[in-house]
This record gives sequence, C-alpha cells and structure tokens, in this order.
Amino acid sequence: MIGNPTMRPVTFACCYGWLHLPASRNATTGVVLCSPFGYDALCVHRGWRDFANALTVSCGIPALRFDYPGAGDSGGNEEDPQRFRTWIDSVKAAAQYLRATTGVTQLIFCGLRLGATLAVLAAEELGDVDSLVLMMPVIAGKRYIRELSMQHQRWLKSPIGRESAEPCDDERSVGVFGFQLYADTLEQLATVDLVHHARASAPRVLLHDICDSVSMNRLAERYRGHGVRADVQIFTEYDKFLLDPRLSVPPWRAFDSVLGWLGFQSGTMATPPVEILAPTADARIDFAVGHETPVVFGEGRYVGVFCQPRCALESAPAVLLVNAGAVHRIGDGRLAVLMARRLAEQGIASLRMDLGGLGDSLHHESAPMLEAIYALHSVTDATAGVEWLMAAGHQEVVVFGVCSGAYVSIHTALAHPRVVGCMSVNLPFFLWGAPQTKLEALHFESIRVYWRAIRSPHKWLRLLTGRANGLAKAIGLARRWKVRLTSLAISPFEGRFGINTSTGEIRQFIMELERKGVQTSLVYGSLDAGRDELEIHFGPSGSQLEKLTNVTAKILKGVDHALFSHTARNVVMAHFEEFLRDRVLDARPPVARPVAWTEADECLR
Amino acid sequence: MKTELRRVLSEIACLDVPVETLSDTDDLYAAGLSSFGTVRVMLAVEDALGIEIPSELITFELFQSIDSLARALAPLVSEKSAACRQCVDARE
Repeated sequence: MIGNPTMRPVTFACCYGWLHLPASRNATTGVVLCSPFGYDALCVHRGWRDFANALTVSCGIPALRFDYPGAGDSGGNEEDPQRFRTWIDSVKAAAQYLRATTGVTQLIFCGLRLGATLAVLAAEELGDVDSLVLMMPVIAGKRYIRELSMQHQRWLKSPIGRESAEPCDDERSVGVFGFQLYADTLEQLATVDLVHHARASAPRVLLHDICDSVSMNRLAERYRGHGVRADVQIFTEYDKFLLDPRLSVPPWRAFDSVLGWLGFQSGTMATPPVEILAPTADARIDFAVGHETPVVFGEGRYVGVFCQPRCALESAPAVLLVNAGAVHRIGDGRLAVLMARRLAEQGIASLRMDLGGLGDSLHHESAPMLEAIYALHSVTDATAGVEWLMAAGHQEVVVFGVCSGAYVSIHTALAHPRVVGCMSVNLPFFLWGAPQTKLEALHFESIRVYWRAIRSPHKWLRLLTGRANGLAKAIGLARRWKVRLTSLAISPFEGRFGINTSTGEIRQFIMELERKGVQTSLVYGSLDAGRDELEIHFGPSGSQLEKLTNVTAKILKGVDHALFSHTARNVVMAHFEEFLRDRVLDARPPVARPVAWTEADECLR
Repeated sequence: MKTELRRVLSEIACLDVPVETLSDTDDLYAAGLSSFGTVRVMLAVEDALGIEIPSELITFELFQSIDSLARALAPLVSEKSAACRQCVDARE
C-alpha cells in the first residue's frame, strides 16, 4: 500500500504520542523514540519531530514518539509516585502499540539522554529489541541528579531565580527550569548504573556522545563483552541541540549517522514536511475531572489538545492557550497542561495549540525563523484556534499567553470579535517592530535588576575589570530612558501637529481594547523586563491604566519570566482563575461606552 | 591546575574555538560555552580534581574565564590536598 508519509496524534496507556508512518505501509521494522525528560524534552521537541519524519521519509519505517506519563501532554503529574518505573513501562507499552498498529516485527529503540537510559532498561525487560540507539545516555543516575542540581543552582544565582527561589525546593525534589524529579523517582534513578549493570539489551547498540568519555567507552566495552556489536560515535553538535528551544539546532550529522548505521540512506536535512492526519476516534487522555483529545485543524496545519471538563460550567467561555517563545504547546514547566486541567476542575474547557512553525504544527513556508513567525503569522494562527473553539460550540473565548504568547494574546483579543478576555503574562513589548522585539533584547534584564546590581560592590568589580559587558547594558538602559523621556516630553502634544510616538501608538492600541470591552489583564513579575515597557508607557506599575474600565495591570512578586518556579506557576494560575471568575464569569462589566480618540487619550494622560 | 582545566575544556566544553587560542582571561561564554556545557565542565572538573563544587560557588561568573575557574577552585584543591596529607600522616 502506498500513500503519503504522515504523522497522526495517538494515545495509549495514558500516554500522548505521534505515530509517524511512511508512504509504503509494508515496513517490517519500526522505531520507538524515547524522548529526554523535562527541560531537555522541551529543547529538542521540534528537532525530535523532524528526526521522526526523517525516519519515515528517508528510511520508509514507522516511528512512534510519545510523552511519558506525567510529562508533556500525557496523563498524570510528575510528582505522582513511581514515575521511573512507570516510564520504563511506558516504553514497553509504546513498543506494543507500534507492533499492534503497524505490524512491524523488528524493533529499534532510540533514546536521547534519560530517554536512552529508559530505552536500555525497557529493552532489557522485553528481550526482543533488535537495535538500540543511545544518544548521550544518562549512564549513571547519581551523576544525572547532580547535573540537574547544578543547573538549578546556576539558575537560582540569577537575579530572577533568586527572586523566585523556593526554600523547600532542594529538600523535596531535584529539577531544573520548571521540571522536577521527586523522592521515590530519585531513589530509583540513583541506583541506575549502565556500566555496572550492562547486559545484552539488544544485538546491536549505537552510542552517541558529545565527546570521547571514559564512561561511554567502558559501557561500549561492557556491551562487547556480552557479545553485543557496540559502536561509539562522537558529535559535538548535540551541544547546540540541548538549548533553549529558540536556539536549539537539530544535530543533523548525528541523525544522518544513525540512519546510516541502521542501514538506510541518510539525508535527514532534505526531509519535506509530512501530512498531519486527524487523530483516531479513540484518542483521548482521561483524568479525574475531564478528558483531553488531540485536535488537528486549519486544514491539517495546526495541532492542539482540547481539554473538556466532566461537568461543564454553563455559558463559560473557553480558554485558548498559546505558545511562549519557541516552546511547544505544553509550555514552560508544563504550565499549559496544568492550567488546562485546573480549568477543567472549574468546568472550563480549553485548547492549547501550537502556532504555525512551532511544536507539531506545520511551518509557514515564508517564515522559518521565530521572529517572523510571531511578526507575520501568530495572530492569524491564534485566530484559527479561536475559530476552532467556536466551531466546537464555545461562543466566547478568553486568550492566555506568557512572554511572546502574551503579545499574541492581546493582539488576538483585539482582532477577533468573539474574544471577550485575555491575560498577558510578562508581555515583553506591546507592538512588534521595536528594537526590543529582537531576540537578543530578550536577554536584557529589568531596570530594577540593574539598579540592584549598582549597589553591589562585586558587580562593580566585575564591570571595572572588564568581566561584564557594561557597554551593552548601558546602551540598553539608555534606550529605555530615551523612550521614557521622549514619551514624557511629547505626551502633551501627542496626536497634534503631526506628532506621533510609539507611546501614542501603544496607548491607542490599549484604548481600542478598552473600547471593544475585552477584559484585559496585564500581569508582570516584579523583576520582569516587560514591566519596564509597561512603566515607560503607563507610569509606575501601569498606574495610568487605573482610569480604564476593562484593562488592568498587576505586578506579582516571585514570578519569574517563564514561570519556571512552581510557586510562580501556582500564583499565575490562581490569578487567572480569579480573573475569569471576577471579570469574565460573575461580573461581566458593561462594555466601555464608545469614546472619541481625543477623549480616550486625555483619559490615559 | 590551569593545565588540567584547559584539558577538561578542550575535551568537554565544545567551544567554538580551540582552547589553545584562549588566554586565561578570555570570556568562555563568548568562546561558545553553553549552559549545558558549563554543567559538563563542572562534572568533569570534579572528577579530574577529586573535589565537589559547593552550590555557593556555582554561579554564572565561575565560568567566565579560566582564571575565574582557577581562582574559585584553588581553595577546594588546597583543602583536599591538606586532607590527604593528614590522612597519610595518620596512617604513618
């Protein structure tokens, strides 16, 4: 049977996954892809998807990638008991699912980082896996735990990390950037040592590492001692793969090498996009107060997960959750998944979606880069999400987003007549096109952070000894002060004598939201750089917005930019629920009376 | 110790430029050291020098240069040497 290469969302054993099928449906070999855990999985999501597509397109073999229970879009939470055991079982369940749905008889397990370790352990238990591809495997569990702990310590030392530090973090769990491993999982993981426990997990093993390491060579030797054909290959490009999703670059040479090792022709980079199929009718993840179904919409362009409550709240609007930066739909620290399930508890349905070019959605031909995705297409894409919710029976929609998702949120709120509310968390800029929309500008901290630094002798020492880039920071600060001072000086003449500033444009934008009657909540962490933008245009803590009926600003303590901290996520989720209750559900205030622009402008002054 | 640090950086750090071309004060981040790379370097340094880097030392600044690494780690290495000497003395 011949068709097009496809990818289709599937569910099995409480796991959410993607089944990638080649054009020819008579393959006898299939690949189970075991993704890494936590932030690593977030970093590599798009590249991992591309690798799965390459396996189907270039090699003609089916591949299954999936989220572990308690991770990604799968059921459960990472703090649930016995995660490590459950994850090994989920790899075995994936193998069974792949065999059952495609009829393959030979299995390859391919894992990255902790996923590679899980692949080894699952293969040992199954005993019938033909090949193992282990990309930068976690060889010793204790070392991995130490690595996570070190990464977390580094983040805690950053100004934002310090602000959002949770004192109990270190005692109850280990993790980094919003993902945690808890006590019993740590206990199980600490006993893992592949070198000492290596067995003949499969007849062939390919080991990839970033550099020639003693432990990797020992592991290869152990495998060879058990009669396994073990090969080691080194690819430094993995270093650029495990980066913030905005910067992550798939290791194409390493992927090509895997294809070659498996006996197929390489050429992963030339892989064209594959068709995204609608999920099967039985694809769903159930949880205590609702269920989730994968959705594919916009003529197969967009991908999302629709979360429905068991007991729906009558006439409640649905919530659309959009991406933040290049992170796929689950969000940093799995925020969107947690929020969707909390909303379901209150009877509210939600759709978390990938904008075009992000996560699993198709990319826009004209906009392969992240900046272009947001500048050119993001609002249109989110509007497609709103339309899908309306088609599903929800007449009103509230949009929620963090960082660049906050930008999408307020602009979609203005663009679509059925959007009645929006919450924008840590909005970095109001309009696209200003210098602060450049990616490098997102590394610039809040003025408050630099103000604190000024009072630190240690920071002065670093500056004076040339160990800090004082010039770049000074330019960034000068730019902000220039905008602020220009805004103050020109404000009385805005819109008159042909004088228009960015502040005027932004105020006009906010007034349009006010006039439309969209309940708009701008939320900022106290040290977030976006707060500077708010204050440049609307005064201290956005105080000038207090004069408006429908648009408010709120500063929340302990909230870091991406909501990496557990507390930050809980604070924001609680604030969003309160917003929905007070301003959208219970007390829908009347739409602001139509006002002429000049009057509105006076109001904001 | 700097020789050992240079060896680790050369093997583990995946910098954009050869370590030999860097001076002791050159910015390692500017040379391509990633956040993932810093963790790998920390673990490798711990193995190579037989020390455990305490959490208070794990800062962005620690990896700024070979000098900053050597300066921060020197007391730990001295402490470890002193402890070893005491062990030997006690055995004798």
